[in-house]
Amino acid sequence: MTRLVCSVLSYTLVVFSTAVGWTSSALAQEPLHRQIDALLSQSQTGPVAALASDAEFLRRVSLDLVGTLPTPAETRAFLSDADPQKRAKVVDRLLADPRHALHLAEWLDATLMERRPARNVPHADWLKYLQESCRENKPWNQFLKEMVTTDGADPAQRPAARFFLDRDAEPHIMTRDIGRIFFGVDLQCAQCHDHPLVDHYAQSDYYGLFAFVNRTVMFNDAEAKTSYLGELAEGNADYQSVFTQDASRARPRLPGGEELSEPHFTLGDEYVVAPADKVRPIAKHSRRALLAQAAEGTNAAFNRNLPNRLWAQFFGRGLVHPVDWHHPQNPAANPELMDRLAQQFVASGFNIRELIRQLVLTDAYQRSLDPAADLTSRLALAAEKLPPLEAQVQELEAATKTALEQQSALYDQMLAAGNALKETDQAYAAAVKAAVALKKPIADAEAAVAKTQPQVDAQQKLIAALSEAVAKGAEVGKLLADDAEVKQAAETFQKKLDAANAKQATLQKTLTDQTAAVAAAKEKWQAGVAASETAYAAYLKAAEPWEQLKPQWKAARDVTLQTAARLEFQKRQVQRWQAAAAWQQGLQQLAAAEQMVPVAETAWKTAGLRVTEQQSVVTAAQTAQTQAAQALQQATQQLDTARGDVETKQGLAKPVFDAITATEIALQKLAGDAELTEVLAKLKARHEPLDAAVKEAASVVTARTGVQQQAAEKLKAIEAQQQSAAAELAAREKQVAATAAALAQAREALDAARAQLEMARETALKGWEQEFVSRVEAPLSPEQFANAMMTATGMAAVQMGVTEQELEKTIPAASVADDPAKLAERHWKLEQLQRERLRGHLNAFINLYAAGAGQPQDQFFATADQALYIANGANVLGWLNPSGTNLTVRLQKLEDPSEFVDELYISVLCRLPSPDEKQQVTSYLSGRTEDRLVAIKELIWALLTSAEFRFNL
Amino acid sequence: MDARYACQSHEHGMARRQFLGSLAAGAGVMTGGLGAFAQPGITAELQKQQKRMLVFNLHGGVSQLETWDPKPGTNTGGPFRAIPTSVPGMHICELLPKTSQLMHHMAIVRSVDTNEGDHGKGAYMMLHGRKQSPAADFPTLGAVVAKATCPPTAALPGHIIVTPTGGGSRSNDASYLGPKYASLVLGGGKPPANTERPEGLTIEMDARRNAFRQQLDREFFARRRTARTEAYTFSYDQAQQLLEQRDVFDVTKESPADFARYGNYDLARQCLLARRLIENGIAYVQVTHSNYDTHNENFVFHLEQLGEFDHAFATLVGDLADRGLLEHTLIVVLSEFGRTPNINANYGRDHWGKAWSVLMGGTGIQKGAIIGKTNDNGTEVIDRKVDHAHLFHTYLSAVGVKTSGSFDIDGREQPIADPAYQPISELLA
Repeated sequence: MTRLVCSVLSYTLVVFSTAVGWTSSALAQEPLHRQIDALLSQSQTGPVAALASDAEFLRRVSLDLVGTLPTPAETRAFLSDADPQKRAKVVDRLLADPRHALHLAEWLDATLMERRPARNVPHADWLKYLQESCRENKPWNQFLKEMVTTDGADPAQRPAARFFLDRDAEPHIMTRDIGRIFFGVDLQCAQCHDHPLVDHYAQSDYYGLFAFVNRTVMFNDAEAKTSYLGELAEGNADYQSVFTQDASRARPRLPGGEELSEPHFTLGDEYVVAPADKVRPIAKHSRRALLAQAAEGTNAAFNRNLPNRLWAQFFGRGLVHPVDWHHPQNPAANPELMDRLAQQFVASGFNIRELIRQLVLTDAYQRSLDPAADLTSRLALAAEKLPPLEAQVQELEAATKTALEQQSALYDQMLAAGNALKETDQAYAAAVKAAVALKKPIADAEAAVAKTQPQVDAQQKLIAALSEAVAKGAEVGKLLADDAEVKQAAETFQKKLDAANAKQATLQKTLTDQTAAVAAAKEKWQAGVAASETAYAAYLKAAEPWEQLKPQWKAARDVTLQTAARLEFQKRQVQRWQAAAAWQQGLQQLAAAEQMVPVAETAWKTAGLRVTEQQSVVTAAQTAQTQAAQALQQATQQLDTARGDVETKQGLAKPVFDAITATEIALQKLAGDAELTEVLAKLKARHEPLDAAVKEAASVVTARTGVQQQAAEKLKAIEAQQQSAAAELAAREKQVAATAAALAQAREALDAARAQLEMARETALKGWEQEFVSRVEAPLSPEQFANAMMTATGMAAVQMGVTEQELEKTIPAASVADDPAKLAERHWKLEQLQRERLRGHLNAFINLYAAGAGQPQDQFFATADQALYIANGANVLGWLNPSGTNLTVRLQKLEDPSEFVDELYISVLCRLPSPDEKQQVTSYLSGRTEDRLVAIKELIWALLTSAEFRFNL
Repeated sequence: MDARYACQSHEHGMARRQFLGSLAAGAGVMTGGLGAFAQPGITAELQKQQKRMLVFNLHGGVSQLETWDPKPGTNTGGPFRAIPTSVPGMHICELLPKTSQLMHHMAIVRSVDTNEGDHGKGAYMMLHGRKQSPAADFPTLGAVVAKATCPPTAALPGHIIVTPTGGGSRSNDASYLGPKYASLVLGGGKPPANTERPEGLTIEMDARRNAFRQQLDREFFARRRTARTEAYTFSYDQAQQLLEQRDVFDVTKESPADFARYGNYDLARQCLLARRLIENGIAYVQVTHSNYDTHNENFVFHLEQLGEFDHAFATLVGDLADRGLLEHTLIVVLSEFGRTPNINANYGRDHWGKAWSVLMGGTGIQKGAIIGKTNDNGTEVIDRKVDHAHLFHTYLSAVGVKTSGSFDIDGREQPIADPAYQPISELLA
């Protein structure tokens, strides 16, 4: 409920802000996690997913904060907890858990050292340093300070020096890795020339960073068998582009910052310990330590880097992604949010734990893996969002162009000013060289003095001894006045003394000369130093225009970068909304196309029906035609029959008639012949019926002719009808073909619309994935994956029992029960020891699942050798064997199928199974009473290797 | 609910395009990149067509004068003669009699000037196509070949280095291409780790648990299906296939007759394993032969070393030719550098990167070609000077990789080969 109100509130804020523009202070009063959600909702173009379920949230936040799965008990308790604040409470509980600091330390280890082998600082020491630092919630800037200022000589501070020492302090590696790891910029490609693909990574950026570290040297103390860092006072970061041949020199400059001012030391005065054989040089001014200036909170790149890396850790991808690719062409998913995070991080005193807390409290972090139910709800907004955004893009394009021109003009001036310096620079270098050359005569002269002085001293001793002998001789001479031998001896001593004195005088003279030579050499050196100082002063003077132009160029460049970044961000917003518009349009086109299909279908069907109809008309006509033809045929036949009858009858009548005719002719010739008359009469009488029959038959013919004609006419009419029916049918069939084609077209249009919609949808979704509207699956780190497996199988709990027993020997639980501080300390030790106990297993996973040494560690890959390790390796398979109260043992004891599946799912996937899943597992187990243990191991293995387990969802 | 394939990653996009691209020549039955994961038949077909690369690394720096660019009768030539080859007019050193009869499959580049005399740096240049620089980090040739030519569905690793002993594990030589393309080192007949089911795990159990895993994944994919989840699931299928094809790595499965033909010494066995790997479609196989660093007694050592090399190499190339595999396989014989024309006081030759030779053979090249020339006594290149970067482009071009292209690594473009260089075009078929 609270959440709902909150999101409504933030929505109102957004609407308000876009309408009026709201001050950041109004928002700043909100806790950071609310600010994050509010800011995100401004840039999100897609609809946000619902919040994740409790089970999903608990698994997610446990993996992220303590690096492993919640135990079944934790999951059960959380699911049944009715407290509306339970999510915030679990966040605080996990942040206070010792495992949080241990997990964070491992993340920092991978981030800072990228799995490089520990050559100079033992990994255990380094990890302990990180663990203790995380435990005390050491501010991030303090980490930086320690890592860049420690030289490794002091054992207490030595672990922090690993950042340099295990990269052999190689200046190019240091430059690249400091750039990437602390500032989020991978300048590798700007080493030899301005970056070919990223306009805004310049060679000067690379060498600005290089200048901090190129004087740092590894010093190997052969006796102690240890390496420390030393630092020289000389060594310039000079560079030349392999493309343009432009040459320049960089002083230390943090990414995005200005060149830092440095103290100047006169020659001979630069060192605390001057470089010499087997001596670690220590310069009075450490450029490396200057890097700590980034910790002051004024360097935007440093301030942004860790919040973005943590964001990536918790959200599956960075606001800026990849995390070491901060540049204007790759703007943050929400630049304002990126800035806000950085600003709040600095304001909190670089408080890592608090930042983490705020990140996981956001709604954005708690989004479900399942996208919003209605993905199309915001598409229509594109129409109103696009025009102002497109106008802004145009403005920004113009502004970028102007800014770039200004920057370019200043660059040329700066380059010219730099080139103009060459002579004075060379003069200065020559003066330094000349002065340095004057050092040797001093040493030579001093060596000569050093050689003579002992001789003088020895001579002096001899003189003293001889003087004493002479005095003693005189004394003895007095006592033994006449002793010739004594006298001779005294004389001998005297002679020797005289000779010694004479030699001493010569030696003294030499010494005096040599001492004078030393003084003279020193004087020359002083003159040389003075000359170099003069040359330096001249250089400084000459460099003034150059020095003045540098910040001007930098300022111009900043403007370019800022405008370019804004431009790129707005362009992406435009692209996202365009994708939404395309989706919307696709939906409309699809709807239209979908409508077209049934219409075309109806038309096609109707046409089909009409063909069918007409076909029956044609068929009827054909039947009628057949009938008429038959009728005609019949009539014709009957006519023919009638005609035949006539003929037959005529054939009968004709001879009679002919006979009559012949008889009448005969009668004319034999007029009145009675017989003939009689015959004639008879004939006529005979003919009459015959003729009547003929006539009757003829009348039949006439009648039948009429009938036949009628039939013929009828047939003709019917034939005409049939023809027109057939023509109609053909026309209708054509119509069917036409509507079929139209239908096919409509269907094609539908397919095309679907494909287009799918493309538009994919484009839009791809964009949305980058704006955190729903959860993106995050691969587990090697440590998370190993720990999750050890927790799920119950192996970790079994081992914890052993760890606990061991700790009990040194710190019995009862001894600290009453003292919360001591109790906490014991808890910390316990978890630390447990981590060490499991270290071998962790390392086995790191070997297979971590990216190569020196490579960014956030890239996912899956290989067969990993799968083979889980499938056949003794390690993981061993964890499935029954032991203590591990999962296998617990499952073996559960007879009730439902309880069994619950325990399995809660332990491994940290959620309750669905009814289907219950069914599946139950049926998997059925019939496995003989080898139930085997079946249990198979089931656990299958869940452990499922994709759901491999990712933080 | 529909499976939502949230195809959001560049890597997937690239893989999918590549896959479809490589498929275009073959079958047209695919529905999309994803289908391939479930169709091993197609994979097997592709595997036969796939281009391969077989690289011999003559470690320590082989002498060009005792191999591909002999200069008999000159002050630098040494004691050996040059012999004619199967290519009219082409002569090589008499230490390679068997190879000489196969030169019609080969081409020689005699004008290599890498100007590098340090073992480590020279080897880096030759196998990365770029100069070594502390802050820059590039994948090796094998990793590039594997990434650029292997279909994402290939079960077997695409990048294998065959050594005389040791091995069995993954190296760290793929840089930004990621461990997936790092070399698997095989030596002494030891198969890759965990390619045997442990005692107590029967095929049936394995099949059952995998079937249940697949069922779980199918259900999960209805919620979320991305290139990452897909790749993860596929890695288990790949593992299963690898188990089935475990014999691919087991040279002892070759016939006794072949062992007899190749000979009973390390390089011979390495070559036999290399043949087995190439036959089974491994994209990149590298054989290392050590050691040619002959500061003393150069001639005696080359006589011995090249005797081993000539027999094993010629037997292998002959087999590949007979089996039609040279049509798909590029052969490269390289070193970190050559050796000085000058013969030192110990009858040795020293490190020399100024004028030396590389041999190529098989697919994608002009067979019988000789590229470039050194002067009469081999002290300098006088025609068509090339270096490691040109060669790198050329090797890749010969197996069909467009070397002006880039890999898309998580949104960052990484040129496949040094963009400032191009392949030796006249050497390419």
